[in-house]
Formats: sequence, C-alpha cells, structure tokens
Amino acid sequence: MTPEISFMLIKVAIVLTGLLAVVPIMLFVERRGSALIQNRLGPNRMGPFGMFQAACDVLKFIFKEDSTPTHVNKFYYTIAPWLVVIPAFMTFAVIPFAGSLSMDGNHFNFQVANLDVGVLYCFAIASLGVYGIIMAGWASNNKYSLLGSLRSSAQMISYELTLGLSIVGLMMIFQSVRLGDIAAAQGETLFTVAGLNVPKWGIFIQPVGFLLFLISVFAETNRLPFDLPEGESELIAGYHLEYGSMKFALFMMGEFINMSVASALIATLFFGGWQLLPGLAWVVQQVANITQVDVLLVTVLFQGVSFVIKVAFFMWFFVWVRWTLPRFRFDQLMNLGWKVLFPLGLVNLFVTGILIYKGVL
Amino acid sequence: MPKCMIDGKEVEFTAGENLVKVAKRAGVEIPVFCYHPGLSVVAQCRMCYVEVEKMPKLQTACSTMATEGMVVKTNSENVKKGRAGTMEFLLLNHPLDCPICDKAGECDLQDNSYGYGSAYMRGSEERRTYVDVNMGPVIQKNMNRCIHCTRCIRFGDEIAGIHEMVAIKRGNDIDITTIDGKTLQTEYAGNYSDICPTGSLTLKDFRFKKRAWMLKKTTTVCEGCSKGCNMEIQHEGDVIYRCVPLENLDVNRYWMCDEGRFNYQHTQDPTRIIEPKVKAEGGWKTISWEDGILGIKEEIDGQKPTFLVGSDLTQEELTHIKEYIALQHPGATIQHFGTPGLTSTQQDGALDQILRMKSKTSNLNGAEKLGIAPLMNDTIKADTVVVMSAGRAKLPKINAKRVIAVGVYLEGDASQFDMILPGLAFSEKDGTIVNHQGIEQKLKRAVLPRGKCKSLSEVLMLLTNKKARVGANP
Amino acid sequence: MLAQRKPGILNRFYLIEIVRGLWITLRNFLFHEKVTLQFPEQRRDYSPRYRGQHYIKTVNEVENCTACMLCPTVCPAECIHIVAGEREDKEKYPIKFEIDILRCCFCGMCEEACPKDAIKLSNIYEMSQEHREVYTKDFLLEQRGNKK
Repeated sequence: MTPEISFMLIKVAIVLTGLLAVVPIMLFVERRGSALIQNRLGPNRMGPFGMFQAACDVLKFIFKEDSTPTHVNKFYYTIAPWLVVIPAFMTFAVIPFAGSLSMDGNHFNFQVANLDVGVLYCFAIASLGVYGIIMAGWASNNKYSLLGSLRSSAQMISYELTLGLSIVGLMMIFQSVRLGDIAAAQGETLFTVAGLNVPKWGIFIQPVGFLLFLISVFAETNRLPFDLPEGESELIAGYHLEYGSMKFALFMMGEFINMSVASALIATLFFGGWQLLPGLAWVVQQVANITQVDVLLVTVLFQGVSFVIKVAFFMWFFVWVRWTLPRFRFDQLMNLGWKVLFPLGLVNLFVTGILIYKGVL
Repeated sequence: MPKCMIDGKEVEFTAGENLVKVAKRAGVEIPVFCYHPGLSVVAQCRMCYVEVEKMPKLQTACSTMATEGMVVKTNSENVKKGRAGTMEFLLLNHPLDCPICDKAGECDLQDNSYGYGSAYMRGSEERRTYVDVNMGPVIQKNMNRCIHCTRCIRFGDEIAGIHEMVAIKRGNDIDITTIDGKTLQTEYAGNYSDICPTGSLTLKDFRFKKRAWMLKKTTTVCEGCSKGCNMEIQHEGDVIYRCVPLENLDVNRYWMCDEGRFNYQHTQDPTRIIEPKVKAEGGWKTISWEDGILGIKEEIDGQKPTFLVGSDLTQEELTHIKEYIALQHPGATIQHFGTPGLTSTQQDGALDQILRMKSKTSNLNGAEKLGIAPLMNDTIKADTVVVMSAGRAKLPKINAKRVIAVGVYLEGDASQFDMILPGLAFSEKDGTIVNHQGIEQKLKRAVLPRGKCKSLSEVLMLLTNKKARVGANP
Repeated sequence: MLAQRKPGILNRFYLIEIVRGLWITLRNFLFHEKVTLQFPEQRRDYSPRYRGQHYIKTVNEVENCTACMLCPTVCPAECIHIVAGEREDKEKYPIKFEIDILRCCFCGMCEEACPKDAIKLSNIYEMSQEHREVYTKDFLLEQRGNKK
C-alpha cells in the first residue's frame, strides 16, 4: 500500500468518524442549548452535565421497534433515509480541514478529494438529498408527509439559486472553485488597520454574499426558521411522520451532518477555512519551540483545530438561531427567496464584477 | 262564614278552628313544636307566638281560636323577637350533634332554628346529659335532644290508648321516659319517631342507614291489612329504607301501625325467591323463564286446574286472572285466600280501637267485589293447584299432586310448591286496592323488581301466548 | 378586522431585529437564572390551601369523622361512599369510608362541608398508581401531610 493510499484511508476515517461523532454531540448541544436559552436546565441526569443523555438517546433509537406501516411503498420508504444520509456524508469529501504539508518529499493534502469542481460538487451532491426527502414523503402515503416533501422540494430549488449566486462573486475574486485554493487564498492580508492585519476572508470582501449564503444555507438544511417541511404545527412532522426508530434517526443524522457540512462551507468560504485564527500563529511558534517538533506539523495541527473551532461556532449558531426565531410562513419563505434574496444576489454579482473590473478587488 | 285577617289576608274559618290551621289555609306558616293536628293542644313550647290586635301580650296560635273580625300579625317585630327568644330557650340544652342525628334534614328544630332562631349561642353553661333507657325494639331514645313538647306523651294517651310515656321531675331536670323504664308496649310505637320534632325518639330500624335528604319518596298505600293506610316509601336506588305514614283523614288520619311500617322488609329478604325455580332432587333448581313458562303450560294447558289467588293482589291483577281463566281454562275454579279463618268482609273488623284490621290482606273487599269465591277451611284438595299471591296472604294447606306458585314467596313458604315463578311485591308495582270502607287507593311503584321477578300480568300473557318469548327484565 | 401596521424601514430590514433577538437569547443562555426545579430532590412549597390527597383527621387516634354523610351529599363527583355504624366509644362512626380517587375532582367541597374537620385535603400531590385505586378508611386514617 503506498503512503498516498494509506493517507487517503486515514483521511476518510477521520472525516467519517468526525461526522458520526457530530450527531450525538449535536443532540446534546441542541437539547441543553435550547433548555438554557429557555431558562431551563435540560437533561442533566446522565453523566456529567447530562453528557451521556445523547448516548442514551442513540441507544433508544437503536433498540426501538422498527415498524413499517402497512400503507407505505416499502422499497422507497426503506431507501429514503439512506438517500438523505449518504449525500450528506459525501458532501464533506471536498472540504479541506487543514493546509497542505510537504515532508520528506511527500505532499499531504488534508482534504478527502481535491476535485477541480470543488464547491460545485458540494452543491450537486447536497441537492441529491432532496430526493431522499421527496421519496420519504411520497412513499409514506400520507398527506402530511407528501405536503412536507413538496414544500421541501420547492424550498430547496428556490434557495439553491441564491446559494449558488451568493458565492459566484467569491469565485470571481479567487478565480477558483477548488475549496483548497479558496481557503489558501484567504490567508493573504486584505489591509492593515492600526497594526492589525485584517485577513482576506470572504466575509470582508463579500459581506452581502455571506449574508445571502447564510440565509440560503439555513433553508437548504431545513433548519429553523425555514423548517417548513417538518412544520409541527401544521404538518405534524412533515416528511418523516411515518418513520420511527433508526429510520427516523437517519433523517436526524442527515440533518445534523448537513448542518456540519453547511458550517464547514461557511467557514471555508467566508472565514478562512483552515487558516489559523488570529493569535494562534504565535501559539504555534511557542509550542514548536517548547516541544522541538517541526513547525509545519504543529501548524497543520493548529490549522485543524482552527477549522474545528470555526465549524463548531457555526453549528452552535444554527442551534442559537433555531431557538431565537419563529418559523416563517410558506409564502413569506417564497417571497424572501425570490423577491429579495435572488435579486440581491444578482445585484451583488453585478457590483462585484464592476469592482473587479475597476481593480478594487 | 266568619272571617278574620291574618297578615292582611282575609280568611274564612269555621268556629273552633285555631289560628295555626286558619293561617295555614291563608298560606301563612306559623312554626310549631308541641302542636300536632292529631293531638290535643297544650301550648307549652311557646313557638307559635302571634300578635293579636287588642290583646296586650303575644298569644300562642295553637290555643287561640279564630273569632270574627280578629286581626292577627304573624310577622311583626314583636313576634319575631318572641320566636327567637323561644328558640334560644329550646336550644339551651340541645346538643349540637346534628351530624350523627338521624332526624337531621327533616327536623322541626333544625328548620325552625334556621328560619326563626339566632345563628349564635349566648350561653356558655354545660348542657345537661341523661342516661337513656331501652325503649324496646322499635324506638331509640336520646333524651339529650328532647325539648319537652310532650307530643309523645299525648300520642300514647290519646291515640295509642296506652299511657306509657311520662314526664318525671320538674324544671331543668325533667325527663321524658316510660313509666318505671319499661319498654314500649304499643303496636304503634313507630309513630313516636314520626311525631317527635327532634331526634330524641328515632327508629332503631332506620338508625344510621341513610340521611333523610338522600331518600326519594313514593306515595303509596300499605298492604298490611284491609285498612289501606296511606304511606310514603322512602328509598334510594332500589333499596327501601323506611315507610312513614301520610295524612289521610278518611283512612288512617296521621298514623300507622308497626306491622305495616316494617312490612316492606319481606320484599328485601335475602331468602325471597327472585328467580324461576323448580323442585328437584334434594332442593330447588333455578331455571330460565322460558323453561318455567313452558313447564307450566305443559302442566295446565287444556286442563282445569284450581286457581288460588291471594286477596293481596290488586284489582287489575285479579281481573286479569279472571279473564285468563275464562279464556284458557273455562270452568276452572278460582278461590281467594288471605287471612286464616276470615272468608268475607262481614267477618272483617277492627282489631283494636285505632287502625289495625282483622284481615291481613289489603284487597279482600276488592276480591269480593270481583265475585271471586273465598277458600273455606284453609285447606284445598285438588289435582293441580296454581297459587298466585303477592306475599302478604297466608298460604292455606294445599293437598295436591302439583302445586305451581306465582308471586312473592320466601324460601320458608315454598315447601308445598313444585314450581315457583317470582312476582312483584307491593313496592314494585302499580295497581288499585279497595280497603274495608270501599275506598279505592293506588299502589305506586317505588323500586325496580328484584332479580328476575316479573309482573303477574306478564306471566299470564306469556302463558296465553303460543310461544314463550320472554323479554328482558324491565 | 386586523389592524394593518406598516413597519418602518428599519423594522422591515429584519436583520437588526434578528441580531437583537439573538442577543436576548444569548443573554438568557449565559446569565439568566434557571427556573427548573430538580423534582425529586427539590420540591416546590405549596400553599397550605392546596387541595391534594385526602386524609381523615384523628384526635388521640380516634377519627374525627361521625359519618354524617355531608361530604357524599356535597360531592359533585359522587366519589365518597360511607357506611355508618355504632361502637362502644363512639355513637356514630364510619364502618366504611371509601374515596374513589379516580372520580375525585379535588374541588375541596368535602373539606368545606365537613362539620367535624375530619376529611381534609393534604399537600400531597404525588398520587399516581399502577391500578385503579379506591382509598379505604385505613389508608385515609394514616395522617399523611397533616396540615394541623
């Protein structure tokens, strides 16, 4: 086995285990976070701070009876959850979680697949997830499920436009769709104010694009305030109404992994990706001096840490927003998507083009 | 007719009527304790104070006869004060044990205290207490509650005809008791409980069984003898708790004998037969109504059995039986029975000076009017006998091959029978009975039939039908 | 008809309001006092007038109840069943005193009607059972949650 292949396998293992670990962690964060925001305590009985509650939830999901209603289309009903989960995992393949490293003549790229299409691959695969939801809704043979999945497809298609448009400006500036390149390019300094270097992060050069991306990504992941496909008050549970036990858990897993992919994308596109957080460069130098380890190795490690911190913040942001904002109405959602965000994306693109032409960016 | 004014209303009266009666007719209520329309007037409770114009002091309405042009006020300040004072005196020694008193809810003292007394007690002295004597099986005495109205003494003297209750000692130590502490001898002891305005004389039979306000009341007639006393069955659910007499000046006035008062007990006896039964080896076998009806049909169809009907059945039932016999068994003999040694109304008569009659069945007069012959000598000899009675008639000696019984029977009566179909007792059916004076009175259903009992009319109808189709119990 | 309110331009630009909302939730998340009561260990103090599980008050181990039947009379749910009797030391006492607790609506009218201060509703509010419970006299005579 060549070092390339073994390194590749290690990367895949890291990404998979990391994403799988996200699910129970997010379960815990979601439950306790919501509780604390609502001045409650939340589950605090299992283990320290109730951390093992997530494990208990997972065990419950696993050991619950997995019943299939008689009125469903068995085939599509069974594969639908997998069609939600697998694309969610696949999307993460192109996201770089640390800078590249050259040691002993070997070049290590901390990205599962450094594809030329990069971020487009992300959108392509993420769009596949909607098939799972539509299948689930249709196969459930239930009017609420079907309505939920219809809403889901309409919402996904509407917001995918804005999602794509919002980062076109970024691609024009960085002249690449490879996420590795985009992340690397954000290491440059945009300008210096009072001795502080402001990095060339996407948020600083594309603030409107960031806003559009953020809003669209909430819609794409079906999180509040855009969780209309689930809409408890009117659709009971939407497309996963007829699902129970592990099949339902797969939908939940898909949602959380989508969230983490979305967070990773936000971090990579607008917050410098694996670029060290401000101040960490000095820490890296100190650690390297004290431990006598190669600076490059320590840097890569801290790049990974920076990336995880950024992603974690945005995952927390998802939870935070969920327990702050109420759900939109469907017509409001569509109005926002088509009448506000889409034109705004076009204007943003136009302005960015002009600025690039004038040589400002 | 002379007239007088009571509270501004003009009322006509007949000479010799007292103000309580006249006021009642005018719709004005005057509170009383010692006054009872069926007893003599003593005016010793002082509750019935009224103000009569041109009289300097308050007068007791029970002892004041109405006169022409009399102007009476029953609601003036003076009267109210007088009543409240009387109430306070009466309650000086009355214990506050209404929660455990059986009279509570129908108590004159409670009602009048609530209506005319004060809500507060001024006295702080200890109340007097007595050790009570045993008054026999009917009445429970509690002298602590007594207000010395002497209704009981007067009832014994004037109505029951036996001077057994007396007031001994004087003043605060007064004790209303029996002479030498004997038990009550009269056959009318239950009335002591009815007339007592407080809970000092209560029925032992009813003791602590139910509170008075929980009982439902059905007006009906006693079936104990040919007197036909009017009474009220007081029941809750399908359980009778007691019977009390109702006023009917033509029949029983205000009273009732103990025999009639406790006559309801046999209808709730645990040994009463409430399912169709047939004699089998070594005892009785319970059968279904269908089998019972079919069994009887097999025995009597196309034959001429002897019908013995109790003179405790109602006119309707007796008529129905006569029609049935004319239709199904023409020529069969029908005879009524009831009290041993008493075959006609001529022999009937008062057993004592008060209410009780010799005939122990209620409808002897009615049976005679329907032209049913009496059973002589209290014995019968026949091939097949069908006995129908409502449980009150005393069964004659029956000497027959097959004896079929329809009606109310206890297990003890049933030894002469071969088959029994359970019927309705007086408290479970509607009907008409004719008393010894010839007055027709109505029985009313108070409770639902027990067990699988069916009315006699329904049984006869089933016997008439070709097929025995038995519906559910009512 | 619903009053149409035209929001100002700043209000219509939701982001400011959203940020303010996020600040409110963050403040609650970080600083606000948590109101949760850790139930089995911590318990809320109930008012002495709270109407919970019934008991019959006793004085010197003799029940106050004289079986006057006022509580079954007043009970709107008809859940109290009393059979009265007589014994040596007490003229009238309840032989049977049953409360069909599943029918009870905890209105407290029995307590109000009682002339003897016998039937009382305690502060006990944990009454779940694994079967359909009818409280017997023996159970009611245990002085649980005696309010004095």
